[in-house]
Amino acid sequence: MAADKGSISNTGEKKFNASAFLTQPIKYIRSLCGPEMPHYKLTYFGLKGRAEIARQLFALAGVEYEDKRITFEEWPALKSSTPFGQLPLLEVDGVIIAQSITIARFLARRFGYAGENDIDAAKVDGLADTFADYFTEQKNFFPVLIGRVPGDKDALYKEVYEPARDKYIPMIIEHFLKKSTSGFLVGSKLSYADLLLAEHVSTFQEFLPHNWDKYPELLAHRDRIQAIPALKKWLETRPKTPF
Amino acid sequence: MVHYKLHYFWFNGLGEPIRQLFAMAKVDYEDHRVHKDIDWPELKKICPFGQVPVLEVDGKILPQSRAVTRYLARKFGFAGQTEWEQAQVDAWADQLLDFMFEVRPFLFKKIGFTQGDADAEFAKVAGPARDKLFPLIVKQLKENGTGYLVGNKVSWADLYLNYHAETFRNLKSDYLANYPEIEAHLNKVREIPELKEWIEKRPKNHF
Repeated sequence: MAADKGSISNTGEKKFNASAFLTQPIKYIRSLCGPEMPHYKLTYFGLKGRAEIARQLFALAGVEYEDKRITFEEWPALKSSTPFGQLPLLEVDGVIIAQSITIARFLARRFGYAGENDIDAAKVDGLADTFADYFTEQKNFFPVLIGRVPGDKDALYKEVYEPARDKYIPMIIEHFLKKSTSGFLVGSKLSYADLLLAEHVSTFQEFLPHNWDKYPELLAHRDRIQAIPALKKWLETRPKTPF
Repeated sequence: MVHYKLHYFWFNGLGEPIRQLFAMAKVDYEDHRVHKDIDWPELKKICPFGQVPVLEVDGKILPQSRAVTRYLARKFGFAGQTEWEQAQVDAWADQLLDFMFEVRPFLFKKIGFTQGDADAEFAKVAGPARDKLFPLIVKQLKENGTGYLVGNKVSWADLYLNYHAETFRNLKSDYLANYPEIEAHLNKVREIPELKEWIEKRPKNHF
């Protein structure tokens, strides 16, 4: 569901606003042309990380946005001006929205990837919340896995990550994947929960090739999701970063 | 080289025997798996009956799962080895398909595709239908004596039986309990090396 495109409309008897024209001529003329497309700017580091789902939603919806990638050197200057001292941020017509899952949910609602009704939307959100719990439970492992923090990767994998994975993943498979007749986690349409899961499965498979051996259903789900043409194209053309 | 492209849903379904034929024949093809709401607008332009599966052969379109499976099975040598065997394979395939459509409501209720009491459906329709056909299948397997339904080579009729038995056993663990010969047939077909390899690497779907 793409956002509305602007169109030339007949303004009929509208009176010419001389002062608006003189102070901001381009904006005034544009405003005569009908509803404007929202301007989106997504700010994050040059990584997939917590911005990737938002980027995938833009790609799926075919909506243009500014994919602003900042360096770690530029970050300190920006940090204090952000709502919660974190990235990613989504700017929508000048208004800042923070928190990666909220950004994903906001865009998903606008573009039609947040469940077909409010009940399905709740199930999708419930899955997103569960992923958040799962990621939190293994948050000491991931930075070591990707090499940003020193540590015993193998020990943390066994002691911290595997228990978390084996706690949450079977529930997702039993209660959602195995009950799905559409191939998607909830209802009959793709949702941002599918994107969260598929991206996670891909990232961990790259670092840990045998991580999903016990869970082939996840690989099947990931393959289905990433075969969706608009997403496939983004995955092929997006900047290549390790995570 | 002929270019094949199969359009079918993301799950196994009636696309599975077709995919298995390509695997057994070791013939390359594009396995285009579709989601109805995402892919249908483009796909319906080429589907003559508004349905999948549809097989593209160098751009020419063949619809109807039965026709596609029979066409490939004959081409690849999995359709009986004499004219008479071919006719027998057709008969068994048709009979199995009739049966599979008759018991499909149980499948749909069990996986949640339609509403309703799956167990009641089984007791009323699928169970009795199975108990009517399976003894005839067992008789055929015993009389043929090769482990396959017809002749001494696997045919697409075996693939239909195999697909049905595997899917229904996934849904109801005791489905083959009274039919050890059919369980043996399921295991024998799955041991065919190319098929075994495909089963290991195919996307894991529960139907």
